[in-house]
Amino acid sequence: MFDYELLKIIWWLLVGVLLIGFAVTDGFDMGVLSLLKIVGKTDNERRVMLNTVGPHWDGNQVWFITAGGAIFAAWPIVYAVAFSGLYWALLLVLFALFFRPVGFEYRSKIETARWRNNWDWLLTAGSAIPALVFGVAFGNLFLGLPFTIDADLRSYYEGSFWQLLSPFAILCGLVSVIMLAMHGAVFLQMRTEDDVYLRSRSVAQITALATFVLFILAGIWVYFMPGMDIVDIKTTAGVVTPLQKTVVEVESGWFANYGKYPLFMLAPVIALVSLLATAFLSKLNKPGFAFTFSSIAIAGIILTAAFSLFPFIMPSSINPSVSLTMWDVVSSQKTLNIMLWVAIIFVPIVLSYTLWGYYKMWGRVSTKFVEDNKFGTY
Amino acid sequence: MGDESGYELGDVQKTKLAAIEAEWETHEPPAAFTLIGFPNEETQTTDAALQIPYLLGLIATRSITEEVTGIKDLIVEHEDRIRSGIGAYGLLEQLRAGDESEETKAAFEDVKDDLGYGLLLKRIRDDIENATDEEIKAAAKSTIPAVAPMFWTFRIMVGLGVLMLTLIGLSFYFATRHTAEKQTWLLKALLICLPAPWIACEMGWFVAEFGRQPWSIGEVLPTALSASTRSEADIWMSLTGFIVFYSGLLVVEMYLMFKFARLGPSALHTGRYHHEIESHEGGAPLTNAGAH
Repeated sequence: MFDYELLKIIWWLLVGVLLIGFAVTDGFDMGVLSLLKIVGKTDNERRVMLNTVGPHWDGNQVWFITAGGAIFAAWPIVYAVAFSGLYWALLLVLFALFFRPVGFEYRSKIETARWRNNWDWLLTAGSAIPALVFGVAFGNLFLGLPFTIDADLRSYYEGSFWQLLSPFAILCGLVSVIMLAMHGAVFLQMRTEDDVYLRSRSVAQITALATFVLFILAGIWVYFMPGMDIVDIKTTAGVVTPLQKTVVEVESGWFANYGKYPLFMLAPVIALVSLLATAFLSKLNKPGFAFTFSSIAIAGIILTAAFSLFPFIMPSSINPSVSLTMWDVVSSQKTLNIMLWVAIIFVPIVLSYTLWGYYKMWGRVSTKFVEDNKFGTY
Repeated sequence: MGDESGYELGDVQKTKLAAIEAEWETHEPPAAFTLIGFPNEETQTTDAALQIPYLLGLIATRSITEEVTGIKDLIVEHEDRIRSGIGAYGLLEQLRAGDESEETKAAFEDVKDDLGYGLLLKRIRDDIENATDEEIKAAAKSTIPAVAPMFWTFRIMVGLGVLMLTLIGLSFYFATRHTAEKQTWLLKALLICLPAPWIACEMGWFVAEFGRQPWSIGEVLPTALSASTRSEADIWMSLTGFIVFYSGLLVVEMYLMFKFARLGPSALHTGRYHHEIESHEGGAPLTNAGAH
């Protein structure tokens, strides 16, 4: 049995890995669909785009469910506070996601322009809206969410959906949408030909540079906002609830970790370098390498957020001392231990068949292929 | 499988079993099984009950000597546990306040299994240590789900199960004699029974979920405490959203289903279906065969 404190750190990392896995895999199909109207100019071109992600998008989306499931099992209090606090934001994500499976299945069933155009918009919304909301949610973690917890550990959320849409949170939402659009564009560059290839190549360069600028902007903004610090916690090694600590606000507090743990600096540096590399390699017609770097950039951006907040997960704006941290929201040691073994055994199995799926479905999708198989493709 | 669930239920979910079977009293073993009747919540009796002797005892305990605890006795038992749970909650408060003495810990260990029962009072008042006798009795009564809905949904589920098995048996019998298509009454019955598996599932779901009330986690976490603190309006709005959304999808789905069912599989142009198959020996294509 692993030490409880170590398990808490391992699970903080594992949830991060799952979120990165979600952003890197589901991220590119969300990006592709967000660009449906921008990169795809004709019906056949849009079908090409749909068919590049058609065999993979639902498998990728399982990362999202896995991340949700892991949070439920490893951080039950975070799950409870986030899912009831951010009720309408998450329902908006859910309802937007509903349009993806039906959009894929229904769009090509009827050949009228109106039918297809409507589904194109719904598919775009079904990908861009979740990407936006995830970014907005991350932004709100830095600002703190308006929740508190009573003595029976029940959470009360005092805010509304509209309050989530503050300027900083919207900036984070834009980082998320444009970052995933970059990832999708680079993916399209790998998997398409001709006009779609050329258009996705320019979009990839623009979005990579835009992400670079917006990410720095968000960083500057965070520097000028107050962060939080734990001044007194009952224990980090044993059982502790979110009510057993004291938290204070600190000027530029979300930058404090980079002074304490200089290695954390690697995350933003690697993110920024990778964004430039993505734009450059995309221009050089090396989409395979560009995709590798855009994946690394996404991981770097998510880790930057995680490292800045560490050990906080969900800070509370109205009662900072009940903020949720990775020390005090975890399941029992036994649960974390069992789940760790389950993860060690099953994650490689899942990864191997996922990779096999990509291997079997690899290759470029052309407009000719879609035309020749117009009754059998998406 | 039914036997296994019945035994399991009698073992760990005594309350659910008592409600399903409308067992108001603890009888001399082995208990009789009430096939049908009208459970009356007010008088705590089942009117016009038709009973099969011994059967419930056999199902729930696999013996003719063990008791099946009745609802009235369960309520008395639960009242004691609620009183003990109030004590457990008080000790927990002491522990939370920083009392780390061994006596407090040991005292809490003794009664911690009843903590959930104490928490049942939270639905009635926040300061549960001041609960009145009446409030404790009301909480004890709330540990038993309403009997009539449980009794009926369970019987509808089992009844449909028996009906479906009978229909399968009859269909199998006639199919082996190659006369199934001539039994029009059977074919009609099968058509009418199309929703039966779905209704049976819903009834079973109801028995499972309604039957474990007032608990989210049996005897540990009351539903009232585990539910989110969102407002009722939020829940109504999201539920309405789901209903509207899914109804919209149903319309689109049905439109496409009817459209493509009419077109037939050859609308896919795979070259594999009727009207488009060329014979394997290289003979004349069967296209337009239907027109002759």
